Amino acid sequence: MTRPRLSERAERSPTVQVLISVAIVVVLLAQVATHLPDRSAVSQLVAPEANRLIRMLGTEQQWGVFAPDPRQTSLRLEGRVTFEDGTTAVWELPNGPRVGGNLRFYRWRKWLERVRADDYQGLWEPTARWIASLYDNRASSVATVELVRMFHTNTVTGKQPPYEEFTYYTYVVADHL
Amino acid sequence: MTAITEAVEAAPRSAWDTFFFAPQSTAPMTLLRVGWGAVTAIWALSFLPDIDPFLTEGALRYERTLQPGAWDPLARIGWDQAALATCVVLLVASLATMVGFRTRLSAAVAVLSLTCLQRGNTAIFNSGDLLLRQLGIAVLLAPCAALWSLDAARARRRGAPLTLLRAPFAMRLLQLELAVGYLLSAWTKARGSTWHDGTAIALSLRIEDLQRFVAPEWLFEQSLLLNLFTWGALAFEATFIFLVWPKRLRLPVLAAGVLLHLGIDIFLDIGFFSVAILLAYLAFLPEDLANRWVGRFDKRALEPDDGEPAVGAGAQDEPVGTRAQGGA
Repeated sequence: MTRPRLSERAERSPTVQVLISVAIVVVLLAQVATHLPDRSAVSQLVAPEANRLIRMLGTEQQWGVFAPDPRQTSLRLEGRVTFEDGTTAVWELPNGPRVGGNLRFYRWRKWLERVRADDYQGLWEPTARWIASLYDNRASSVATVELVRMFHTNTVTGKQPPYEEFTYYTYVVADHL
Repeated sequence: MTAITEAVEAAPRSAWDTFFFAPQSTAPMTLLRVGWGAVTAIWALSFLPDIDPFLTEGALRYERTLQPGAWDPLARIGWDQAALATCVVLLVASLATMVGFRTRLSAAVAVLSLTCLQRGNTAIFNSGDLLLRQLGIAVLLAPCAALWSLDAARARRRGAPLTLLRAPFAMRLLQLELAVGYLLSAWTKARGSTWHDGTAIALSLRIEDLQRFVAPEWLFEQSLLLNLFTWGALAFEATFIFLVWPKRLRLPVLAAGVLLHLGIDIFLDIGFFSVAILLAYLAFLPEDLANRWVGRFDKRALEPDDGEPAVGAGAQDEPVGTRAQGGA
């Protein structure tokens, strides 16, 4: 009879089983600790260390999909480009087929949620600069890029209201030369 | 041998030990490995066209402070093609995992690559991406190459076939993570108002930038139905952790979950979330069913191993405390 492989011998070893058991309990407790209500005393006590641990292990999860409530606004983003000669262009979010393409373009949709948010201001300048770079081959160079967020509050029934818009960041190319 | 080891060995096999370590068929792990490898390869292929701009310096990769404890190797590598190379490595490693070639090594490389890519730009990934990584960790830890794998074929040629009954602790961890995750999700939803008033599903379907196929307008007039969908989804998440363990309830519970997540996937554009959840369900497959599925292409899944019958052998699936203690 052949000798069991190392991994088999390990998983049969009582000592290793104890170590694995401890690891399982710690990982599960850390997962719970990172989903406690933010303002709870327990969360404030344990969440920072739990967060650190799960990120070191690479096991961070987000179980709050559409929680505590689904987002109640619909979003769009436009990059409005003005060239030196006064002409304009509009950049819109890439999109693709709903079957197959959805497995690629969902990342753009997630990015849209972030790039229009005040919490992600660090994204605004790189985004505007990148949009400007998409028009490098034009005869006239880009003068400004405006990031415009468009939104409306969704209603459950009936026709949805029109989008409101707000220019939340303006990138002036000359200021960054 | 230490005193601790002696004491542990002398103790009767507890329900805990039986649940996590009593040898079980590796057929469920096999299905998870193949499914995860295939899906992760698609994940890598779908990401390749967008490495530039999302993970390219000077494009949409942006300066940010990582959470404490997080490591981001791509940020430390000066080479501007590092992300592209990592994605290609992920593709190759996930395909190798799928076919069971150097399975543990390939799974480790795939999980590491996935982590590097996901940490490279945290603005573009969702919970499905993180769950996919979690599944990879389970594949990495599980002895999932005994069936349907090149590793198994090579081992047989060497005259040392891989053992078909192994400790299921990695599958148990995945099962518990999913069950606890559902419960945490329900708990978080319970803090909101729209899950209470029964409008959450309707409001989710109304988010135009997340719509994949647009739900028909008449559906939104069916407020009773939408209330029931909302509360049904909440009830499913809250009770999964209790209902999924008894064998007679397991398949109906998983079937309900499949319907729920297919519905989400049809109407909402959330990438790999639903498919990752459905892959995680493979960890819950009853042994005999998994053995029959795997056994269609590899009869060894139906054969005895180490003197124990594979079908229906090993520990039961109920977690600690829900079944009588018993040896394996």
